[in-house]
Amino acid sequence: MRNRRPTRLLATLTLAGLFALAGCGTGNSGAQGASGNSGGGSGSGDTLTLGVITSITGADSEFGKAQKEGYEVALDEINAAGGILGKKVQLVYLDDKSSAQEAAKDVDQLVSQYHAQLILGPYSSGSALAVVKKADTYKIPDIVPTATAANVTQTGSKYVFRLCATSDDYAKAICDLLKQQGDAKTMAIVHEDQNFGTSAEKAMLKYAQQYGFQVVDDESYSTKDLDYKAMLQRVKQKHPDVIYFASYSKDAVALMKQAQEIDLDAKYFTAAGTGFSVATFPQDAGKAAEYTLAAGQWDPSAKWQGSKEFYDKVHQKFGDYPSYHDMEAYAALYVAKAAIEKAGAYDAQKIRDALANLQMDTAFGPIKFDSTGQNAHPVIVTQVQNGKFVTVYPPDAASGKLLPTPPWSQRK
Amino acid sequence: MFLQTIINGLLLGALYAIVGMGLSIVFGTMRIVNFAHGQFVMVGMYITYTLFTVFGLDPYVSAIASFILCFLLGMAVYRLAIHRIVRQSDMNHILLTAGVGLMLTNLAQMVYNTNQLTINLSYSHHDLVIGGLRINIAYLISFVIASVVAALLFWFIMKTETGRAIRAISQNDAAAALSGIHVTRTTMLAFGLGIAVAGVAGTLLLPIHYVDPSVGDAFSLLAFIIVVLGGMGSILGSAVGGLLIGVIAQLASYYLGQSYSDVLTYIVFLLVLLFKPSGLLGRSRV
Repeated sequence: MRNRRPTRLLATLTLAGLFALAGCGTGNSGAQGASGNSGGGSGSGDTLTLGVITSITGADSEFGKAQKEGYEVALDEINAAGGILGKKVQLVYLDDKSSAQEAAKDVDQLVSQYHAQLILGPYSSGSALAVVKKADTYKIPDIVPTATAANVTQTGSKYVFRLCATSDDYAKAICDLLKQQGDAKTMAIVHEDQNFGTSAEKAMLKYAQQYGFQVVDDESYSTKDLDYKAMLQRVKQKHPDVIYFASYSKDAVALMKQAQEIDLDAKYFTAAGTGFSVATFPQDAGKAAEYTLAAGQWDPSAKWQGSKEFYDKVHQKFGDYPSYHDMEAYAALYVAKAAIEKAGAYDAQKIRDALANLQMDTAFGPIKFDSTGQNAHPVIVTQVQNGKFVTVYPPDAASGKLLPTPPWSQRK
Repeated sequence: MFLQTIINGLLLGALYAIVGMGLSIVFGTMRIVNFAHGQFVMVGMYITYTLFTVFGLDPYVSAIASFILCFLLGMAVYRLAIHRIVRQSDMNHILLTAGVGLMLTNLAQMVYNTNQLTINLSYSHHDLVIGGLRINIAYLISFVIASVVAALLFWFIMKTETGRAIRAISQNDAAAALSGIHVTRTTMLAFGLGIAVAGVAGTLLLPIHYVDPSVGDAFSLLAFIIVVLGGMGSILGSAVGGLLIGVIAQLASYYLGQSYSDVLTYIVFLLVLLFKPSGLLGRSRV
């Protein structure tokens, strides 16, 4: 025992590393996220079972919860109005545990266990890319409600249909707003290092150049990191007028709190929606959330019919204030309904063709998919003012005025 | 800014150090290859989270509860499981403790599900400003507690009768038994102590980091690196190793970018293994 040599130590440590990696995979395999009971063949009998993949647990669970609220409200309405093709609709939720690998496995399960002809979801861009590729091999259409990374509709799949605007649209909206303001010249990008963050970064690099903003710093981080202060100090040294974040929920809160802590001032704290748009953000980040601007997809003051009603329904049923993540899921189920009814049967190929030619109005705005499966959806920019999201851009959708961001030292 | 980064690194390093010190007793001294170390850190985090949300107990007060509960848990795990294979090969240690770790992870998942949980403390994002340098209060408290725990641990291992017995067993368990040391009981105690320190580490981490069931994996790896970097069996070495890794990670984040902090940490670790295989403060055992 005594004369352990370094080679053995190294071997032990290598094993330790392997186990740590293996642990990531196996450690999460216990929970089974499916809720609702299986209806056997989903087309059979008088119920129609539709498969939803979202992040019920894990890092993205706040967004998964929001999506589930949206789906549930739509489900109630649709069933109250007679279901789809005369059948009562049932949703089965598969949990991707906030991981792309799990999301891909969920597709397998939906196909083998529920004979899915259509998939709704998932939540995140990382999962979406995996689901889109997998659904393509099964030739099953996938309606993507929330994932914004540009590459989700760029796999060449003919079976992907995305409702939401993309990371490109986010970057463009922020740049438009900054141009309108006219007092920003330099920008720093701070993004998480997965599919969502990197595609938001790429989009912003492209648009910043087009609009003539100088990107003085570009930082990437992992949402698992313990501390962001050193990174934010780097940003601080470059004195950017604008900081553009692409962050999920816990990291968004930590980034803003730590920015406050180290007095990282900027004229505009902007973000690609997501963690900066989720309903819990103003509470969790408290005062540090104030004045942050987030590109988003919807708010209850939107002009589309049913917007306000949806907001009230979610609030009534769940006590939550819905964000655009709720709304996109809500609209996705209506799109599914329209497509299945147009197809006249629960059949993957027919539903795909119906989706490709679909044109409809929803509470999330008009839906029409282009040849890549992308719906043209307008982006809005919201600002946190007194703990509430206020739409400040574009002018025709604005419900309030953009407030200038005071330096941290002048805030209460 | 350089000085500020060093200070941040030391504050962060103190947390790493306390994660490492628990394993230093278990792995460094008792030679039990404990792959569940990070999971015990996670248990400490959940204990603290629960006490905070249910009873409103300040996390730094619940460090004591974490210590006691994890101490008992550690001793129970030792007595029920590890004791049976403690004289067998490292591979058996790895398999058994990795299994214990998986059980803990999945138990946590059962009880708390996989959401990332955080607690909100009024002071966790406030700084003391001294001469232009900022010191985060939560980190500072953690730093002080970590130092106290390190000092107590050092004193316990070096000065007390039980500590001497632990060291005796680590040197030669047969001789220790012949000199009248109760090997099983002492090893159990040492294992419990290591786990208790892991629990305290969890408590100190919670105000600045979320907890979810898989959070332990990263800490296990980190702990092994710290123990080996500092020198097997040297508690002081683990403290130094943890501080060093904290400083390196912060310097790398600040001067090269956040994504380089791990890269540089492992480069330094490999260099230490290459040029001083026994670790920074370890005696060569070859």
